[in-house]
Amino acid sequence: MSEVRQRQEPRTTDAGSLGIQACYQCGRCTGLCPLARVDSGYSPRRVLSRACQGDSPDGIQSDSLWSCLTCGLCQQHCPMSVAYPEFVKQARASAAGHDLEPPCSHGGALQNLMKLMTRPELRQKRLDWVTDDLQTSRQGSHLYFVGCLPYFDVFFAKLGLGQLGIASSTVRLLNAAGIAPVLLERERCCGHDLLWEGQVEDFRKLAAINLQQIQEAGARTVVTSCAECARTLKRDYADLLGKPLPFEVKHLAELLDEKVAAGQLSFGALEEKVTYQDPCRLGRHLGIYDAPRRLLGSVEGLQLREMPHSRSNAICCGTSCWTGCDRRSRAIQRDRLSSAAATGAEVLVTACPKCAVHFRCSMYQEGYIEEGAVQLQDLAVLLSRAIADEGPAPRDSSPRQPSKTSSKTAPSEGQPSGGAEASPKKSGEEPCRRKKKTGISELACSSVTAD
Amino acid sequence: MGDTTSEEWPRWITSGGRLSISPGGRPDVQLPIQAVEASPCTLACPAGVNVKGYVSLIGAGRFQESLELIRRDCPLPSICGRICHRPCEAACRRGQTDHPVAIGDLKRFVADYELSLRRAATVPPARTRPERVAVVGSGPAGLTVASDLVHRGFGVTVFEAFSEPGGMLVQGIPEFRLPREIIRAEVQSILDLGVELRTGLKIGRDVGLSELFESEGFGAVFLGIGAHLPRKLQIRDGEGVEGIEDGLEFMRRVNAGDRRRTGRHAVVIGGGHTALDCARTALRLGVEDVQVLYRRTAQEMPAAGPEVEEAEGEGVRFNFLRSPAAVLRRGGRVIALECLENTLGPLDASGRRRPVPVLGSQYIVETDWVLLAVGQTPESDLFDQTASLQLSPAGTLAADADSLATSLPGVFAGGDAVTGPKSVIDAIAQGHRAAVSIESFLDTGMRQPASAEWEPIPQPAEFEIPHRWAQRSERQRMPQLPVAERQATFREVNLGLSQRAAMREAQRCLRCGPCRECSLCTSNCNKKHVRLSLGGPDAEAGTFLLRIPKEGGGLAAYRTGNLGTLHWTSRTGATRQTSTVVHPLTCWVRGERCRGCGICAETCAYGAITLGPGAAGVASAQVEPELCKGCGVCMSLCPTGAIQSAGFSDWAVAGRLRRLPPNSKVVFSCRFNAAVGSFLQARHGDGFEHVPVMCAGRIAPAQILEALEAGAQRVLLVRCPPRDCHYGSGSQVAQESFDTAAELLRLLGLEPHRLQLLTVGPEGDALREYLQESSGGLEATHV
Repeated sequence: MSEVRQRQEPRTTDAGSLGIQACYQCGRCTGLCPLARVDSGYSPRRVLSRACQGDSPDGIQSDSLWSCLTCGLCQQHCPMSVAYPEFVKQARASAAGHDLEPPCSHGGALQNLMKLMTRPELRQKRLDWVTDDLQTSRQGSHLYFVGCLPYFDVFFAKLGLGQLGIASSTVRLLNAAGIAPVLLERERCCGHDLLWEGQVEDFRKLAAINLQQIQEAGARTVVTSCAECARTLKRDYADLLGKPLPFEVKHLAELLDEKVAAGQLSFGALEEKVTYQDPCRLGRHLGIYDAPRRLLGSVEGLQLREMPHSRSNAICCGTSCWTGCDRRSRAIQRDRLSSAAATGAEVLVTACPKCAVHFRCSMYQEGYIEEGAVQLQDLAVLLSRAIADEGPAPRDSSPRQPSKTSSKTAPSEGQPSGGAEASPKKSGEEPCRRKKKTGISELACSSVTAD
Repeated sequence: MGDTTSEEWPRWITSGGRLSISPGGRPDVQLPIQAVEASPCTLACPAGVNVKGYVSLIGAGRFQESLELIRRDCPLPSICGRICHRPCEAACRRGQTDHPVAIGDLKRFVADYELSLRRAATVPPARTRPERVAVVGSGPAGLTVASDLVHRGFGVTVFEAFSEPGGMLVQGIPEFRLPREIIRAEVQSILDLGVELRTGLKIGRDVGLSELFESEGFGAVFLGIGAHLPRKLQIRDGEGVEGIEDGLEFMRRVNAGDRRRTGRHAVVIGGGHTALDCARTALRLGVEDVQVLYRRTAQEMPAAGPEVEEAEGEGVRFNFLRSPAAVLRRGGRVIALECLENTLGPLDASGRRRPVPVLGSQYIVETDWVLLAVGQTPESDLFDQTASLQLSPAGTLAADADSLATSLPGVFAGGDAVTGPKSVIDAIAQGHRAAVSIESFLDTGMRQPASAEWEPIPQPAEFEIPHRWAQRSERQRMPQLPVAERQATFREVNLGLSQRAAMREAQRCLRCGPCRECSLCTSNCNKKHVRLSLGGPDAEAGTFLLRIPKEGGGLAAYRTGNLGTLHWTSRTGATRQTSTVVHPLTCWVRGERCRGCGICAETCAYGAITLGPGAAGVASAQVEPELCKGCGVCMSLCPTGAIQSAGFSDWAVAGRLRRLPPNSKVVFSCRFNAAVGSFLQARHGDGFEHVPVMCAGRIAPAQILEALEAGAQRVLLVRCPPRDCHYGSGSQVAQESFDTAAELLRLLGLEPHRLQLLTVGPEGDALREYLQESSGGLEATHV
């Protein structure tokens, strides 16, 4: 067995040496694949079989090219450790050269945003959300890589997620741990989605701008609140440079976990039952399973109830890279949400803003927005609520339980120190259900009741 | 009919059918089609006239085809367009938004349009049957029977007691509502089909009913003798008084040219159309005043609608809850009426509240001319000698409700003679029914046709279309003769819609329900490749999914793929062919990408999208092409890109944006503001890339960002004002897309002037003026 494993150690660069030839067609990948479970027409095994037989060695002829979630569940359980996500990534890069376009959701708006961000001359105004009560630095050892949250906050305003609450909560948590992070006015999208869609050139442009800025800021530790940013900066930027990064990249959960262990951060009590969604990028891609769980465990009164599929067996949130959102995505999300609800948890905690968007969309459609159903919250937002001396709840990322008085009052809270009041003029400020009469939330909600 | 019914179709689709196409002589390709209930207007019409179909055709400027469609169910369109009581308009869903579509006026327009063209001589249908049918009475019921039977190959002779054919149309209805030349033209159009007419011959008096069979050799007789016998009103001391005249007799003599005025202060008793016509006619004869006494209130009055308003406008006074009790006379001549006031009591047999006189409420109305118009019955005593012709208790001819067969074999009856006085369209409906029965009788000798001949009357149950956002628009009003001019002339009061007004009015139609099979595809296909059927290739054509473009001519069929060649004639008369079945401008769903969120269904202003079953237990959106108007607003809100509209899909728009010249300016406009793009190009040269879409609401932030990403210097989004949006919420959605994109641009640090929203009024003319007047150009319009 060990010989076999050695034989198929990841061979990185070209498709021919990706290790897919090690596949012995056991079909375990197809059996496990969350997509295949809801779509019998999708089979990673078959894709590999064809690729190995030379039908389309680069994989681009496959109908399933854009379907894979690249969640890595198959790789986790593959007896030969075939790097299927990596194979898909390479195949998509080849497809880009053949003018094959991914089925972008939202009309490709987010991809267009990312591509616009490759322009070096941009002078973004992406830090409006930083309020006076948040401590930041111009130069310093720690840099918070905010990612696309300001854009998501606008683009997904109708979902009522208030994605910038993740950013302000992150800064607040870092402040509580004694860190005043550097924020970059000219930060770009990390490029994760473009990379996984095969747009390697654009990814390189974004990465180059980001790397240059991080180095100019002199940061030694880069913190992300997004699992995808964490993976991309840690792994793919390093691959791009071809050498170890001159700084350390940590997801917020990792950093806070260290700070709690070192006694530099502690949380107050939070009487809630939660369950945790392992983001693919944080879990299977980076192997970070314990840090978020230890953090949740360090909050007094917080009960973590695991879903049947968790940690390395966690099921993906159903969509990746803003492509291929369809009925299969919804079926995966529906099943995952019902798993979460079955744990008896009040809050589904994620550590990736995109998991939040995808789940939230389905929650409207599946009727989870009513009070009493399981609600959704980012890890950072949840933890910032548990900071001992914190007053009102931070910006609400999702309506919480009726038993929590703070959830009811947060949107109308008038105290200026609270995170909920950060940048009050912004569109994502209030829960969208109250703001826009014809918003997507209404539409989605009423369509659920119509069913 | 039911064999192709599928559970996959939405609830309100009642039956399925198949479209049959024979591409290149190969065997028929059967395509599933969806048959849905008719639209409310059609269901409301007693004769089942395909209202939505002909209104749509008028809206598309296809007047001839529209009239042909009307004629399938209504042989007297010009008359009907003038005097029908228009149950279709009462049912019109546009009325829930503002005012019903002026359906009657449209029918009148299109019929008059044809009359004005001096149509080429009609080719009579071939005589294929030896049997001859006698039609007694040349009113609408009789003419319909004659027209239907002649089309079925029978010989038909129409007998008319008066010298002029038309029945009550001629005898009872005044010229200012229905000009005689219109009646003559429409009657002539039926005679031109080969119908024989014999006037001045009263069956029952001059010729016996049985003689028609025995000596004349007719195979069947239709009695459409109308209700010409005035009902008597018993008023104390009212016998033999000069100045008391029967209303119908009065109308008859005036219509025959006897325009004597027998008094100066006229009182009309009654509340029906005859009463109204009497009052208005008396005015034209020069009385000083005329008042109508009606024993119930305005709500119960049989006459209603625009005629009442017109009468009031001309000076007719209405007094409700009044009954005449006695006649006061001097020298044998009426000088006044003693009247009683009424209250309304319990319901009577007619379902209306019975008037109850108030004791002691007597009062005197001075008058020297009383016209009694309190109802009519058929002259059924004509046939008393043939005792076996039974009468109803009300004195009308007794006929089977379905087959209209009387108690005499081979004798059928319909129209007012059976129903009592009703509307022209009811008489036409009865005529159709009788024609079916007569043919069946001549085929089989059975007086009652097989019950399968009678389709159940469809009810518009569960057919609710959410027209929440239907744009309000004013109903077109026909110009009218000024009131002053009406006093002394019998010229027609209503002057008809102009062509432009008619097309505008027709375009107000919300086009509820399916297209109802205009069958243009079949009649235009020279090679007869296209056939529409329900349940089988030879079955009678049923409902179908074709669309007629709102403007611009052409023919669009349901998207079925490359299945054959359609040959058709364009509006200019040129012969065209289309090698594939043409795509309509409707949205469609890529089922595999739909995640069943339902946003599209909630957004669609036309209720064209429903959620149906999909794979993996996830619902899937389905577009009903007949309801969809292709605006694409749903498209811009769809998160997955599953819903696309033909011609304006994501990739079609993206295609326009590829290879933009450097520093170009992209103008997205709805098609109502497409002039903006051409204007800007004319004014500023090639720097503008114009991307027209159906509705500005189709443009999502994605398209705006795409344009900028493709290198556009600036992006302009042109829309209509929200309340004038032609597509429900489209303009509002455009605003939301603009807001989102503008905020994203702000975050990106792009200058705000690079994205502009221009809101332009509904009229293209106003738009051009607006742009030409605003010398500042675009800068002045920045929102």
